[in-house]
Amino acid sequence: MKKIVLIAALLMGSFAANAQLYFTKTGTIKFDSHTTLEDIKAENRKVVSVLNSATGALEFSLLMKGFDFTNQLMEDHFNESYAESDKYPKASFKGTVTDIAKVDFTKDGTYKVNYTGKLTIKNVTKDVTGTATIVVKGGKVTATSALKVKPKDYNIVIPATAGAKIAEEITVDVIMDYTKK
Amino acid sequence: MKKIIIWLLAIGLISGIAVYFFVFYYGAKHEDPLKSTQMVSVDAKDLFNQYELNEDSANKLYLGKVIKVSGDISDIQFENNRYTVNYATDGVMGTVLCEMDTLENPKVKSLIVGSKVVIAGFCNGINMDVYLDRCKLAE
Repeated sequence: MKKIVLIAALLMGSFAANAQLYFTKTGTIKFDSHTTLEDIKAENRKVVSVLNSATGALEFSLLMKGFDFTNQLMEDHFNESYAESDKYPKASFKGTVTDIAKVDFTKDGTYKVNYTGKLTIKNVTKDVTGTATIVVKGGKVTATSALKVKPKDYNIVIPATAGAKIAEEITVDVIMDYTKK
Repeated sequence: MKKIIIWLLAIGLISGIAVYFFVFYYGAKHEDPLKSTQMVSVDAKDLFNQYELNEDSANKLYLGKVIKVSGDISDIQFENNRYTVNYATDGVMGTVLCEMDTLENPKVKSLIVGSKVVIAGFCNGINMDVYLDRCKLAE
């Protein structure tokens, strides 16, 4: 319900500012934890995201149980021991593309942009900054970025027995396939 | 002779652990929702309404559990070799989505928008839409 109110508010805000809103319910977030002992990969294909082309306001949210792992045991460990997905079912990002003005959404092109914002996982919110690539092609907008996330920053406690199998810093790939609203 | 036996036992033990790890850890297949013994049945409209009314309460009932959802199909999407079936609900901006197991593709292909369907899958919660994954046709 809160999400619907938020989206509705963003829509109204964008109309008021004569802005263009780009939206997706099928964004992808995937991560890859690589160590010498084990590669752990997971993908979530139902990420909801909104990008305001006028202000650069950017948000996304996802369900932790929506991560698809290569096998059941990895998924169970992730949901039960690390993400505690029953207790913290969602993760979110709220921020701004700081140089959105350099993106021309009316014609095809590839743009490197910077963003800053707050990433919330397990109710722990941390400031994050990074670069993203926005591709405008045939009226569609795709934004991609690679975030570096340290599990311990978000109270994700990895026991010593599993420590060697899980990287200290995990690369989180964000791929948003926006369409105009 | 004693040393050989100890070495053989050690090799056998290590091999056993390795086989167990690769078969039961790496080879652990995803659970089949249709084999769940604790499946909860719910109408798609009721499911969405419950989530809209109180997400926390609905999560306590459904999150992570296998639920068997019945209702009318409002849309079927196919992307990256995977079908997603949308249910007709009273939601303004959201609905109930079932991401189907790719093994179901031949059956889902023949589904018709507007027809009734019963699907079982794992409930992931609500993020605008109530989302189920690894879904299979239940009837």
